Amino acid sequence: MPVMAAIKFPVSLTDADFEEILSRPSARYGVLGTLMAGLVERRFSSLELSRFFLDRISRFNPQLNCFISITADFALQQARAADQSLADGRAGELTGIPYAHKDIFCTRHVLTSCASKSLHNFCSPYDAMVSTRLQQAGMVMLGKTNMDEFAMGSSSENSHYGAVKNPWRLDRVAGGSSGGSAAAVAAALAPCATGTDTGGSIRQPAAFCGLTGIKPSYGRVSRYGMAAYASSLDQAGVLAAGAYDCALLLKQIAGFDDRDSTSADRPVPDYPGLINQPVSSLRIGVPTAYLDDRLDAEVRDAFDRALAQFRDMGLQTEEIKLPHLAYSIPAYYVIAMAEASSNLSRYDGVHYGYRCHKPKDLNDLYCRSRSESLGDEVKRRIMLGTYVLSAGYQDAYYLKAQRVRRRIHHDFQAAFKQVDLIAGPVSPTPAFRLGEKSDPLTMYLSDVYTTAVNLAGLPALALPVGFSGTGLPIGVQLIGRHFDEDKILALGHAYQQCSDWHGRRPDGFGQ
Amino acid sequence: MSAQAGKKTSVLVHPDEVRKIADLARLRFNTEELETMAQSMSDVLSWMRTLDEVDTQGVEPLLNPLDQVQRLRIDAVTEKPQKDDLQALAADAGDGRYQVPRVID
Repeated sequence: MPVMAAIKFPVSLTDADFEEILSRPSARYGVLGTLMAGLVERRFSSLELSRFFLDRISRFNPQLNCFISITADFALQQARAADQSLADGRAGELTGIPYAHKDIFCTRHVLTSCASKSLHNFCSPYDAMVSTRLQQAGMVMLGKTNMDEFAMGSSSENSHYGAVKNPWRLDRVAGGSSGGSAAAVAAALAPCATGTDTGGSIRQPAAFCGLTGIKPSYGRVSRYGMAAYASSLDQAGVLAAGAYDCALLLKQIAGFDDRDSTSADRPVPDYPGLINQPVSSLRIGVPTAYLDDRLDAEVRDAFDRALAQFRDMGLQTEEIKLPHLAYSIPAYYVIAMAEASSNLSRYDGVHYGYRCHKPKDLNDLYCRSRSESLGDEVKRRIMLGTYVLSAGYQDAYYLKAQRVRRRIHHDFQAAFKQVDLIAGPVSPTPAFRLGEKSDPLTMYLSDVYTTAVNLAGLPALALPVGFSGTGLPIGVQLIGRHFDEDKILALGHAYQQCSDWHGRRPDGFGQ
Repeated sequence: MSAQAGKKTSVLVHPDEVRKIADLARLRFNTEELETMAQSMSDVLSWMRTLDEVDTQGVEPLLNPLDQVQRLRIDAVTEKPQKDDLQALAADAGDGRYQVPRVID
């Protein structure tokens, strides 16, 4: 790294100043736009901003457990480089902005554990494409966030490093699998974070923690260097306070990558530039038949109020039918587990990761290394995936699920002839209690509203629309046509111009 | 909505079958774990069979959500050799090789 001239800033801001900025971001430019303005105007440096968040991480991470690794030295080094770019006039739209990175993205020379004992010592020799793009953007990685092991879970309890806690109520889960990312942003230990979404893993933790999160269209963001769970469903995205923040971040990470054979070769729209596009002519579809007694009454009320708000903004809402939506969860779990069993066969104890002590032969090495280092839920999914792909069962389960998947895909295509986007709840309930869903099937059923989007490869934005009586955030999701990220972000932003749910912050974290 | 309630096909996985699947997956379970896994797999598989309620006659499987075929890259070397960096990650490597227990006597 070149020797850098010392950069002087006119004023040194106190923690209280930063907290003031975070609690009152510009309605129009969000938290990240507000912080960026401060950096560009040189009211504070990236180094000061990064130290502010690192200090909050050291104070509050012990109670939330949202980070697996805290990369303070690396962060300060990147922050100094960002300050130099800002001083030289070479800064991009997010240069110097800190972020928390989900521990499923490979990061060179930094632990990438996927929250698994099997990768407890794995420092990747290369960067994931998302990591590379964020570095090229000049952003500052504060650390790697906790999650469900290999992204298999809906609560961030299935982690070798212990469960993540929800900043809104410490007896509740933060959601999963990107629960560490969500908890970190909700408690302002980072202004934004990355996540991945295979069956709801960005949207559900965003909803549980009162954040905005986007799961882009399949193929929009490169999966290169992102540990694979279910390759035909996995997609990287981001979590932040508002839709504008997500637009800024998505612009940085989206784009074609020839190292991901499913990457979409199409230009990346200027999401922040398109955020104020007119939305009042959009038609919103609501799958009314699906809002049945599974849906918690408070979540239903908040959803109905959000729809009323959309109508006040001039949008039309109308009922749509998605006849096979009820089958999306079993179809999703068959496909996800099948792909997982294949993807996770690479963790064999030979090339990297955990190896058992004194194996007696090669098979013993494989079996014991895997059995001693993979968690119960990961093993269950590998077992079920192996079962549904095994001779005699493949037609009945795996191919059947892929056929049902096409029917679900058709349902969405038909609906999108009638409407421009679809609104629905994210989760049937607000954040549940830690340990509450110990039965796997009960946990799977909590993904009832999210998995269909992944099966069809659609983009979806989760955004906060209210709170339960017990003070827990409630989210809705806006689902768009393939590659219509700009539209769902614009509608989310328009909604957030006339609501302040996304600006609320939990008590007890120093503000 | 029947994907929630209906259990038309009840699947019962025997612990012996679990052991067979575990061998395929290179996993190992003790007797007690085999019983628990058998029960858990039976529950989940029975629930998965609710998919049988959907008429999929003549419907092709959808393997890629954008219904696209996988793009192939040009068959050219793009990576630099990095054997040492990669082998440094292994629990046991030496002389440029990965070390495993003896396979052939």
